[in-house]
Amino acid sequence: MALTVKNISKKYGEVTALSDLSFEMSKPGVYALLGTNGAGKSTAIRIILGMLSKDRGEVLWNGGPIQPIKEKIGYLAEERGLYPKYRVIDQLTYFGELRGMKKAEITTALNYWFDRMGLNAYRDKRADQLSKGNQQKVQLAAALISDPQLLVLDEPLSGLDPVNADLFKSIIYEQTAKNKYIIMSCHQMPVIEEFCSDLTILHHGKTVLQGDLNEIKKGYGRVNLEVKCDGDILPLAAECGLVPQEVTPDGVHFKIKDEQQAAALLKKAVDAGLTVVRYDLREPSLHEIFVEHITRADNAAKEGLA
Amino acid sequence: MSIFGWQKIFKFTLVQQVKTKSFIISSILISVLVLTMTVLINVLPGLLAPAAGAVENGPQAGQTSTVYFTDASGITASSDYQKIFEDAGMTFIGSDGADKAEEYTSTVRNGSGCVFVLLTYNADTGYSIKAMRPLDGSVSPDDSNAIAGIASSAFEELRLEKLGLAQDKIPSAIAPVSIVNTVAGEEEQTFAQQMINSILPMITSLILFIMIVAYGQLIAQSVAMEKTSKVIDLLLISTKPLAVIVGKVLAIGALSLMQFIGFIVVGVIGFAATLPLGMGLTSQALAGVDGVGEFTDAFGKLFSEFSPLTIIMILVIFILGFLFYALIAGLIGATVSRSEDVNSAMQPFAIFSVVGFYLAYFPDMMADGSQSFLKQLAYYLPFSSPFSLPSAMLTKQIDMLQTVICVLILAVFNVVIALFVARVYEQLILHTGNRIKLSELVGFVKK
Repeated sequence: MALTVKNISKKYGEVTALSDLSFEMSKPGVYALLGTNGAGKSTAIRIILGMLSKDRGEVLWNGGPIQPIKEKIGYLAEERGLYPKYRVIDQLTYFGELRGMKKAEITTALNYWFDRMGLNAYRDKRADQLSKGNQQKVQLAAALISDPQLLVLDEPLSGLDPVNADLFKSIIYEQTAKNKYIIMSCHQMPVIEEFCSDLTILHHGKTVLQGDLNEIKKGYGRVNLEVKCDGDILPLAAECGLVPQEVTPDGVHFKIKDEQQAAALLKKAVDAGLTVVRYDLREPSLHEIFVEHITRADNAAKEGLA
Repeated sequence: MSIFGWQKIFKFTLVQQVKTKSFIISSILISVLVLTMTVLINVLPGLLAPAAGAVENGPQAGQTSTVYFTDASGITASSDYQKIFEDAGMTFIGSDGADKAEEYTSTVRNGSGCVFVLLTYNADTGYSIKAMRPLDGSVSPDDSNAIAGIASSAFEELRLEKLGLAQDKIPSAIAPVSIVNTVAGEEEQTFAQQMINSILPMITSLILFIMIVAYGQLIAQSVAMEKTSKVIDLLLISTKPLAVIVGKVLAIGALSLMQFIGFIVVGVIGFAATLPLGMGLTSQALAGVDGVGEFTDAFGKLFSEFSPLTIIMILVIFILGFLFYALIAGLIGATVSRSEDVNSAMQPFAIFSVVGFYLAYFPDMMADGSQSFLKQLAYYLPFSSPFSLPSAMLTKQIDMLQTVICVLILAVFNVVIALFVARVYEQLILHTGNRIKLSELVGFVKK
């Protein structure tokens, strides 16, 4: 079982919404589609799900063209949608029926998800009587009701309180453990780092970075140094040729050329009798990688225009 | 363009719409209104019977005790009328020539229970009978009119007699001449048949028009709500846009039919239940055309003349007409991104349906309506044919072959518009932002 996306492109008039997006999920797991607002993530997702026609390219599921209506697919859209005036139970039953499920299967699935998400008290309520978080749970239940093999989650955790965010994360872990194929789009980079092994970063419809997240990070090396001391470390850092990137009450952040530069600063601090409270030498975060690539793409575009 | 899954959308939409408060409240309110109106038609005139009784029973001596009569016709004399009014229980005071007209006018104006009848002749305008009643309201306009009627009937006979016509020839001389205008070989239509033939088509078209306007709005709202609430994203991974729109349009169409049939049933039950009271306008009207039997016969004759095929054709036209407009309403719903824009977006739809309705009826109001170009055009144009064809079939202004051609045109347009709507709907369903203008729709189809 595999999902293959090959060179899919989409234009709206003269505007290119998506240009030659390709990636492959050859094994179960969570694949991240990242990008700024308007980067083309939702367009890509809608094309993959067959909701939107593409100008070029193909989407293959198990080697053949994907047929979303026939496949076991679940979708949690970025812009949440429920019928505001209809009962939760009626809506979820309807979505289950549309996925081709039988009445008994729907009842079993709903009982499980209502229990799992703590929604039993709301099954007979109208959607507009639910809090935003509970509406989001209902929508996740709608995406999962047919036990989909391919699950697309567009901003699954946005707007959730920490308790519900943990609930959603635990459900995503469960689905991963069940060998599901999950495509996730999310602006919360720590969440992506927590779940995803592979990713694509889109900007203005174009792919600006793609690959295995660990490999990408390794490629950068450990170039971030965060230090917190009980004294002023900035003069010592200057002696080592280090320029602070950010100074906060939590410490100072430096970009280093190599690990010897970091070791030199540590030695100077110890020799100066400073107590080092925190010394963290690490790879760049996904957030930093994301910002760097987007900035680089923007700069390249500006230079191109100039 | 697959419509796989439309039945599930149909079922869900129908069930959920029936559960909505607006549907339940409007159904109850309109049913009560229909019931009240149909009951009132039978009961209300009966409750006002004392006032109406005077009209029915003609002039009474107790209400009109004295008749002043001035005969200035130059052909009869006031004395000719004395016995007629005295036999009716009234005191008769007559004069010839116009000398006493002013005096009688003044007497009656200030008097009570009296009527002044003035019979005059004018070379240009002919004979005139003028009935005048007192100021105090003791004689109703109907009573004084009835007295004028008595004088008029008497004058018709008397003048012929004065001109030398034998007494036995007078009835045949004053017998009314009726004009019958029929297609050669066909029977004359009774009053009841004429009534049914003119009212029934109008009711059929009016029902369709009301359904189109009321439920067109509901369809547009429903489509817009699904789009604005983003539910459509969830639907489109399980089914195609055409299935969504077909399911919704058919569900709301079925709902509207159910509701309308319900109103008609309530109306018929209310009307039938109170008809035996025999108090109302209906019973009076029926009495004037030889009773209920004539209407029953006319209905029986009307329906016996229609083959099952004709009735099926009318039903098909009704459904196709509703679908035609419902699909357009669905398209309009898809062009908006906010529910509050639906009303303004529906304005062209309302104008379009009104034009269709009037195109079907306007030619009938014209002098040469039956065969006018406009009327023929209305049969063939898909936006007016649903209104004009049922009435044309019921009144036999159109033969079966022409009907079939017109229905086929309507059906083909329905298919074309369904494909157009599905194509545009597919493009628009994920569109957000400003409302799409009519001119931009074609561009969406080309995409």
